[in-house]
Amino acid sequence: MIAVVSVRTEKLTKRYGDIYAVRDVDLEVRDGEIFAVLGPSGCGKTTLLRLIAGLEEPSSGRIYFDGRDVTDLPTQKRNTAVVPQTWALWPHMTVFDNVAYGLKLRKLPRAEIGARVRRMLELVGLSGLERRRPYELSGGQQQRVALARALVVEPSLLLLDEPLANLDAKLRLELRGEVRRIAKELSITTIYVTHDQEEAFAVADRVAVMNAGSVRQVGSPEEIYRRPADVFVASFIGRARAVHGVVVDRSGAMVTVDVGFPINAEAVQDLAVGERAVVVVRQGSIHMVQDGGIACRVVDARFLGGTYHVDLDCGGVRLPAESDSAPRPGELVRVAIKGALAYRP
Amino acid sequence: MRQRFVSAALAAGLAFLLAFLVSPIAYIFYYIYTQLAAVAPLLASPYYFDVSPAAFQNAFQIERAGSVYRLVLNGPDMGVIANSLWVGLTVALADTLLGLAIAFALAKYEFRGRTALGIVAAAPLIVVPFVTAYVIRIFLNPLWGTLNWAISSLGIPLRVEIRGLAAVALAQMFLYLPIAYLNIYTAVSRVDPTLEEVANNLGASGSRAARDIVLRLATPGIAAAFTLVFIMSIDDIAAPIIFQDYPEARKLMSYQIYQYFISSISGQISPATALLALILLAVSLAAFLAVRRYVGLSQYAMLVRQLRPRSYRPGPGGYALIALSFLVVIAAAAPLAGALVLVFADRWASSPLPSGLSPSLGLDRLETVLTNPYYVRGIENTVVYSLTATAAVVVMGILISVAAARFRGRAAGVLDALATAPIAIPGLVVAYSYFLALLPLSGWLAGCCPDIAHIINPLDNPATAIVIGYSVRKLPFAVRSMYAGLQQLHISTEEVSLNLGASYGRTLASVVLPLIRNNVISGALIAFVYMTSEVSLGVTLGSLKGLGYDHAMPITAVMSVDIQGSVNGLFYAAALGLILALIQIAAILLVTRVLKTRYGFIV
Repeated sequence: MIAVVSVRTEKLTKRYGDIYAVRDVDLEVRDGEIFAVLGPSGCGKTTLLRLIAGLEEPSSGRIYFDGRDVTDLPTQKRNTAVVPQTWALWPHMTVFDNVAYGLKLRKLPRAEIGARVRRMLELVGLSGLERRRPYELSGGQQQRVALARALVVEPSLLLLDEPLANLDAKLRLELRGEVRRIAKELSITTIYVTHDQEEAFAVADRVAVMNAGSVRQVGSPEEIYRRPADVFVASFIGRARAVHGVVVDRSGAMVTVDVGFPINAEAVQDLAVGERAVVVVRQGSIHMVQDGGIACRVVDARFLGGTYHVDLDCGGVRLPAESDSAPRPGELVRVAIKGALAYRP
Repeated sequence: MRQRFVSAALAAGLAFLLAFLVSPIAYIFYYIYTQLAAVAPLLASPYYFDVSPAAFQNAFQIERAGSVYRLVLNGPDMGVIANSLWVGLTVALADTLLGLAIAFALAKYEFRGRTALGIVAAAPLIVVPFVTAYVIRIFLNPLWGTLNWAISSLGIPLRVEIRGLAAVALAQMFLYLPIAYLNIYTAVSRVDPTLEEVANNLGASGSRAARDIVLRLATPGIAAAFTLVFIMSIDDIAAPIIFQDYPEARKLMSYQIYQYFISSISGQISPATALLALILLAVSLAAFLAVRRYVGLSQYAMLVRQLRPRSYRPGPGGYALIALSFLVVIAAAAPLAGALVLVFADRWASSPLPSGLSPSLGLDRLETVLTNPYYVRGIENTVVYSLTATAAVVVMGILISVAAARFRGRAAGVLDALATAPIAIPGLVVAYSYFLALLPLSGWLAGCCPDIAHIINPLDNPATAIVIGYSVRKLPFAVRSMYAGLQQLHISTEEVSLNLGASYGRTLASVVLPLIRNNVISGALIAFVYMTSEVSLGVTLGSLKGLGYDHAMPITAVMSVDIQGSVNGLFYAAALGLILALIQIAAILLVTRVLKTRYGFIV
């Protein structure tokens, strides 16, 4: 049984000169949990992972494993296992030697090393490939070797940095399920960094969304999707468009925002009548209707398998919609918007 | 259209290398074959090969002279052929180990003075032939040398006398250390830092990860550094000439071939010299092929942009390594500093440090070498030879790199290998093969075409052989640089131009060459600089026309003659060396600052 840990960061900051890669990050990852860090390229998620692994030193802030301060502990002593984006398999070693390396460092008996490596290769579905070199394996197989190498040392914390980014789309879908299965089977605390929202939601129990070095929201995939905390999260999650306007009416949690035409939206932040607001409209929340709704002109329609993606011009505002049939460009249609969210700009 | 051009470029490249590299060297084989009866007994002579106990008798001695211990290092005298091998292997091994220590200290540790260490370590890349070796001789002088002065100043009751072959080996060790260090540093820096980080993360200490991952992955670069230093050592003539007062220092293959050239103005051909040239070639090629098992030297003959390797705060072992690096690097840079100081010194022959330093003295000497017709002729020769050969290198370099990068078929690989091979072929062998092949050829042509015969005759007109030799020997630098540029250029860039109706020649001129312009200029510049400081061809072929005012010697040969002649000659050689150093510094700054490429390899 692996001794897993919970992870807590306190005001964790990493600065390069005047640039903050990570800024005042407070996070809590529960033991045995798969926790995804999601954000666009350059938002600081890899730096956050490297700080937790001990590969970078924070400029300020603390890191705790099970309440123990590990901030000044070198990477060798943290009992974490990193799988970098490139997998970093050692090309001069066989699959067996790659996986066995961490066990050799721990000076385990040779028989035990052999048994554990074989067991781990079996778990990741690579039995029989022990004598191959990394360059003799497919991308998917290399990724599994990197995972086996990380897991065989029974780390308290598994740190995956975009582990599927170098694979093709089909293999990504297959392997993300595998990663979750293995992590859950071993009940290992896992931090999973990715820029892919779908991947984060498919793998993780909880998700932290990052932007510009800061964590904008932490929650379950449902919470993040259904109730994004701010405009950034709302725009980043799902195909969405942000439209600026002015609040013209308010009734409880609902507001009406004039963006050139009125849109009813749920006010996530407190908004008063007359205040400027941003309405986030998701592609899936705009539907064509026969009567009522808003009059829009079809700009373009593309078949994406199953449904049509339609670009609409609604009184000068461009909105994305979905439709089961294919409207012609130039055609006038009526749409209803449901589930829009309103934020302060 | 493209295929036709590429095929023509391939044919031109192969023809050039077959005519000026393969054929002359093949002719040595043919000549030895015709002289087998004369050369066979030579191999049995102890003058050439001797591994009897007598060979090791005077290798080293320690004796007590009054209150002082005297350590005499001569090195074993195992005959001309074996001496070259042990000196070459010792120099290569020592430089590889020291280069590894310096490269690791620089690449792996964070410490104050790191930048300074890097600059001082690379400083001896600036080649000032003969003068630096002469300064090392002064350092090592048993009576008033700097080394013994420093030892006695520290109150140590020891006198060190490094003589003969040991002195040659030590001098070469200092001179070639930056070659080893730079190649190893490049190899270490090329290892993806993530590979090391993962090992650290799994529990490996900094030194363990460096050993298991970085060192193992840098092995090809380390092996290449060893081979390069070995080949340069067995080809070197500067150190044996400087230490030629010791008879054993002359018992090296390089010195014997050089000596033969000096005495061959009569036009005689010596079978023994041909045999030595052949052995020199065989040993170099064997070393080259051995290292190719790991990696083609080709990738080390190029300019590279480097990743910043993972570095650590040093522990006690790290600080020891850094201290050793500083010590070695300062010792290796001292001869260059001494050579430059010599220009401004009144005397430095029988004292530990130079005396009578004055800027006006230096300026007078510089004025002399820039106005005296004898020296001016040397400078002119170097400029004419180097510019002509650089022009040839650029043209051939473009053709060969285009053919090697774009031709589909085995011939491209053959061309690439042939264009890289001159790195592994000693300059003395090239010089000797030209002499051996051109002398009978010019005699043969004298009847029908006396003008051509005169132009190619190495005794009347060594310039032809020198220019061709420079262009063949320095071709790899241009080819590697241009080839690297072409590889980075996606083939579709050319195809779009062809698709719009341009011919391949026009595409090359208006699309490809402008895009690889920096690679072409860097390659040409580095080739030019190495030509200006080239020694092997210059001092051998260059000396064939004699020492008159219309001599054919380039600067390096003039320096060699001066340093072996009068006392004042040393200072004029140093002044010429300063000019060479300035040319090299300008080129290094241009390559690294303006063209933003790295000066990563040197021969």
